[in-house]
Amino acid sequence: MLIETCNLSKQYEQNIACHEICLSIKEEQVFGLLGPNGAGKSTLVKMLLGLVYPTSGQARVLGFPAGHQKAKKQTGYLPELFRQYEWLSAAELLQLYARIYEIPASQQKKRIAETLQLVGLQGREKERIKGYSKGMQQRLALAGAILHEPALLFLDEPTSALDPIGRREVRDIISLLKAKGTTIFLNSHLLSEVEMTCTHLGFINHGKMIDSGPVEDFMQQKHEITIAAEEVPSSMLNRWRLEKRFIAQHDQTYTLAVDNKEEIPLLVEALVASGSRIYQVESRQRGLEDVFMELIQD
Amino acid sequence: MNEMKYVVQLTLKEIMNKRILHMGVIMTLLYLLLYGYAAHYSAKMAIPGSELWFAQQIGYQLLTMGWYISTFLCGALAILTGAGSLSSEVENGTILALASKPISRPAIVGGKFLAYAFVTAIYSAVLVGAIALLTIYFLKLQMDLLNLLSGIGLFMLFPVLLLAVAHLGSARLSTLATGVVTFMLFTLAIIGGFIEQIGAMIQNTSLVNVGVVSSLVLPSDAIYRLAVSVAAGPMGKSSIVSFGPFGAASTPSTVMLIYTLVYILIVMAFAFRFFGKRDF
Repeated sequence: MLIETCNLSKQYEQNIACHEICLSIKEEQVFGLLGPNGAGKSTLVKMLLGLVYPTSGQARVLGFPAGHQKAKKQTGYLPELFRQYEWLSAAELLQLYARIYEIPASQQKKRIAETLQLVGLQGREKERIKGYSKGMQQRLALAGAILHEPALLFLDEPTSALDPIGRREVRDIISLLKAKGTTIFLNSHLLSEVEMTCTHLGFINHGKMIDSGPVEDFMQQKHEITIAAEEVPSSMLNRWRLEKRFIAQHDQTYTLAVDNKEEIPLLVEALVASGSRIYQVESRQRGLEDVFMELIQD
Repeated sequence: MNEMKYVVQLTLKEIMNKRILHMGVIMTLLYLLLYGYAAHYSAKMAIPGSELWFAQQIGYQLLTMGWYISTFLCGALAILTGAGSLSSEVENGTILALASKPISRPAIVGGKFLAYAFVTAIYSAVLVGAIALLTIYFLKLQMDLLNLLSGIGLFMLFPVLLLAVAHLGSARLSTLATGVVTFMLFTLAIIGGFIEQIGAMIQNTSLVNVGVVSSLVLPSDAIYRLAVSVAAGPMGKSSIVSFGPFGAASTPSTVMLIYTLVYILIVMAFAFRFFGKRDF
C-alpha cells in the first residue's frame, strides 16, 4: 500500500475536519477524492504530507509515517493555495527544488527544461513569478510537484485557476504520469475531471469517508429510471424508500436508482402487478454527479 | 545540514529582495550623513582652543548617542523582518510548497534565523562601526581598537536577541501580533534601561532594580549598555561619559552577557518547539 490510514481524525476546537478516516491506496492508482467545500479533503491531504498533525489515528505514506523525510522525497504536492516565492524566477525556483530533491547536477538543467515544456511555461522561465498570471503560477506549482518524478503525487484542485485549454493539458499530464506508473491522489470539485482521469474514488462529507472503491463500482452498474405512472400504491413507495431507490418525485413521475439494467424489467413487473398504470419508463446510466449527489445527500 | 543551507540561501535571497531592506539602507545612509554633519560641527566647537580631554568627552557623548539611536534602527530592522519570517509564509501559503519538500521544520526555523541574524548582525556592525569611524575622524577620538571591536561584537548581539524573540512569536502567532508584542517588549526594555540609568545617577537602588528586572524580561538595553561600556574602555568609566541617558552609569556585568546568550538559546528552543507543532 502506498497510502494507508487508520481512524485518522483531525479536530479544530469544535470543528471536526476529518473523522476516523480509513483509506488504502495501492501503487499506480489514480485516486479521486470528492466532497463538497469544507468536507475535509485538503485537511486529509495535508495530514498525509505531515503539514497538519492528526488529533488521533495513524497514517503511513510510502511505508513511512506521514510527513517522514523519506516519504517526502518521493512525493510531489500541488497545494490548493499554490503561492510561490514571487521574488524568484521559475528557473530559479525549479533549480532550488532540484537541489532539494537531490536530482544529480548533470541532469538538473535537462529535467527543468522538460518539466517547463510539459506544463507549458517554456520561454517564460526567466521572468519573475511576481509577473505571472494565476494560471501560470498554478502551472509552475505543478512543475514543482512533478520535477523529481515522484512515486506519489498529491494534486489539490489542480485546475482551479486554469482555462479550459489548461484543464485539458493538466488532464493530459495526469494521463502521462499515470502511464508512467505514478500513483496520484486527486482532490477536485470538477466531477468530469475526476471521471475522466481516476481509477478509484472516495467520497467524503463532514469529515467522514462515506464510500470508496474502483470507479467502475460507482459508474457501470448504477442506472437511473424515470417512471410516469398513476395509482402507485403507498406500500410500493415505502418499499422504494426502504431500499434507498427513491431519488425524486414530481407529481406522478418517479425517479429511482437501480443497481443494474436487469433490475429494470423486474421493477416494472412489480409495478404492473401492484395495479399501477404505467405511461412511460426511461432509463439512463448514472453519471458521477448523480452518484456524488446521492452519497452526499445521504 | 544541506536542508538548512537551502533555507539560508532562499532567505538571504528573500531579504535582498525586500523593499524594507532597500528603504533601510537609504535611511541609514541619511542617518550617517546627519551624524557626520553633527560630528563635524561638534568638532569645530570642541577642538579649537579647548583641552583634548574635553574634546574626547564630547566625542564619547556623541558616540554613545549615535549608538543609542542605532539601536532603534537595528531593532526596527530585526523586528520588522523577523516578525514575518515564519508566520508570513504560513499566512500567504508559501510554507506549503517548502514544508512539503524534504526539508524538516527545524531546518526551516534554523535556516531562516541564521539568514536574518547574519544580515541584521552585519548591518549593526557596519552601522555602529561607521559611527565610530566618523567620530574618530572628526573629533579625533582616541579609542582602543580591541575595545572598539569588542563593543561592536557585543552590539551585534542586540539585533540577534530581538530577532530571536520575533522568531519565537512568528513561530506561533500572526505577523501582526508578533510585531506588536516584540515592539512592546523592546519599548519596555528601553524604559527599563532609562529608569536604571536614572537610578544609578541618583543612587536609588529601587530604580536600578526595576531596570535589572526589565533586562531580565528582555536584555536588549543591557546589551547596548554593555557594548557602549566595553567600546569606551577606561574613558567610559568617567562620570561625564557615563552620565546621561545614552551612557552606562549602571554597567551590566558579564553575567548579563551569559544570561543573554542563554536567553537566545531558550527562546530559539521554544521557537523550534512551537513551529514543529504548528498546523499549516
